[in-house]
Amino acid sequence: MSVVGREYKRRLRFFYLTLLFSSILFVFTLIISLTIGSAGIGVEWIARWLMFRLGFANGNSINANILAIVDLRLTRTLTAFIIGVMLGVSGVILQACSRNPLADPFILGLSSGALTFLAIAMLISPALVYLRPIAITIAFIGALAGLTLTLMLFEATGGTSTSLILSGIAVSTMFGGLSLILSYIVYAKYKTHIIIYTLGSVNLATRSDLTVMVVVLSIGIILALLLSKPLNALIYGDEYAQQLGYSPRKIIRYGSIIASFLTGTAVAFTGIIGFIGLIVPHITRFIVGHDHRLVIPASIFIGGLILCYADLIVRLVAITGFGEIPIGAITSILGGPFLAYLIVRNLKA
Amino acid sequence: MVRGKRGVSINIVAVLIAALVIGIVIGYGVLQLTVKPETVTTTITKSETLTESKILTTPLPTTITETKTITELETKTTTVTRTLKPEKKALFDVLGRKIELAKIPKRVVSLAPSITEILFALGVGDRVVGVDSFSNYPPKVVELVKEGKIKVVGGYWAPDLEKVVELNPDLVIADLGAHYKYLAKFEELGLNVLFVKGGNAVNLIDIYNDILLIGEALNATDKAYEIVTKIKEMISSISDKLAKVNVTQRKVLILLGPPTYGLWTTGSGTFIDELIRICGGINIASKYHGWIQISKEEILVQNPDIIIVTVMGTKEDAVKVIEEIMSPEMGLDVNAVKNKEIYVLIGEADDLLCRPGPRVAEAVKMLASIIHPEVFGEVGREDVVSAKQLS
Repeated sequence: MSVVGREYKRRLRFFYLTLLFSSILFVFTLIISLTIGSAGIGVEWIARWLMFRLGFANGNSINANILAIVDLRLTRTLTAFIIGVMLGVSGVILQACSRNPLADPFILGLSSGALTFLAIAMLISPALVYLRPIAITIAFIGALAGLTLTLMLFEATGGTSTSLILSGIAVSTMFGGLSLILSYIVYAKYKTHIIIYTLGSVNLATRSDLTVMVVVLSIGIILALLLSKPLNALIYGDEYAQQLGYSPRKIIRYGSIIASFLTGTAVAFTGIIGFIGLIVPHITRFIVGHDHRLVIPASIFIGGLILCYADLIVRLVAITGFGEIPIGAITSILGGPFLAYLIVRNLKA
Repeated sequence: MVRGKRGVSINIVAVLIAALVIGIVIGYGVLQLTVKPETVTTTITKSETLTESKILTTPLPTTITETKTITELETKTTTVTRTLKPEKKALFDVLGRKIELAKIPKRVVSLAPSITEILFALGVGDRVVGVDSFSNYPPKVVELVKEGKIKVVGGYWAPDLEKVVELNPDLVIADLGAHYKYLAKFEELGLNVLFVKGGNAVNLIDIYNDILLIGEALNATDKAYEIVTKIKEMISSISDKLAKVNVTQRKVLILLGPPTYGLWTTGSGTFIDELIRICGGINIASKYHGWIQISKEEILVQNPDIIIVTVMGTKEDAVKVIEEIMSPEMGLDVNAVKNKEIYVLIGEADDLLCRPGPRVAEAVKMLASIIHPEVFGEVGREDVVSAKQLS
């Protein structure tokens, strides 16, 4: 017991160090991200903007135009951060619930389920999607539907680690195709593309969206933290969890709901951004260990920072005059090799 | 405990979902509360400082009456007119949004090639400060972009918002077909955006309306009417000629892009469909709606007399496309292939057909001579490659 206690303390110290380091990194990233963008704005103007926003300078010192551009960049960065957190935390929960290191909201069919339900809602009435709370609810139900289908298939196929991934692929492919067909119908009916959703973009979220996102994220993280102890029990097996007085079914059910809620919201705002939920839990566990009381808070920073840097890559590409590329493409490029590495390691083990 | 039993604790799930929904509602409610006071304070300050302004700021039906009231006010008091900024006018775009802009906008950004063409045709090209990367007509645009007088603000489908804001435009003209999804973002950024139908134009009237709307926004109404009248005259002269000769209508298939991209064509509810009808043709895809993919079977059943393909590329590419369509492997055993009535539009001819801009009359002329060369003579254009030329 004392060995475990000492180990835990060591981990805790490491965890606080990580938290400190990543919050410093977060501030640093935030400031860096303000200076990068296709409009050429000198660092001097960024400093003036900072002074103005912090209340040290009056409005005369800054050009209204630059104010708008820097605000645009800030909104973008914060959106990327929040979406990264949502996907990262839901990845942590999914990997713990399924006890599978390859689980991810995209692979398990949550993202495409949410997108399909959004497309159906758009067909019924476009207003449903533009009203954010309704869109979030619909996407949440869609994500839950995708995950439930995957889990049903998983249990029907015997419940091995490979069968979870295979059933996830089946469900996400089905929903992916469905949403593609629906996007054509939506275009024919309303002459509006929802294609933008299929590869994700943090470009279009507005400041009022950001407020809603923060609220959703806070609820999601509090619920996830409440679930962290049961998740710790669950990763050691159903019997272990039962001995501690938790019902594994209930843990999985609540975990699914929280993960679907976070993923659904992310899809409703920025579309499908894959593989963040896969990478983040691994990196976090590598740093702070397997205790979910530490993994979930740490994954907040790591998830957010990874997506922030992915967005910075998008912006750097935009500077070269290439135009906006979808952020989902960047995360796929980063995540694909990572998935390959995990598969190789898992199959060898 | 056995895993098998599915005791659904509906209560807890229901409470959880209700809590989430309530959370969202509260979050949104807080947001609404925080926004409201801002608007209230602004109205108060307005009414305090500008008591007389209320008469002017109410929307006026037309621009003409507006200018009248302004001159009246100017004669009354000069101080009032200065604070009111009377050089403003209001108009409604195709989405029904009310836009207030300066009487003569000085810095205009165009987000679509067809809009750029309209702006230059109206003779206000000198006020354009930004265009999308596809804008290449008139040649002056390319020149000005090279000189750096006009900045490129990203592609047609994905405009670079930062660059648009950086140019500090007092009017941005956007295309409903491509930019509708940016609406909320535009409004947040405080950009003055005028939406025109553009790529969503379903017929010629939409194109005329776009030209007139842009003309009104840029205070070039007369010129806009002139352009529209000219287009109408040219088109009616062509349809009159066709009516006199009483030709048989010919079946036409338009392919957008080479067949390797998929057989994309234009159904009813697109302006190209109407152009074909005007030129004495029947669009074999008009039973479908919008921009769609057609099946080979459908093409074989309909048996088009003419196939027109738009290709972004060189003459060599055009030749390749013709060979591909005529090859037996393609399996298109239709009249057009038998009679070598395949036309590939490259370069400018491609732009001409696909852009809902002021050159639509030229497009009609070109299409008419492709579909009915016996009436209008052969198309003497370099950028229209026909299968007959090859053999």
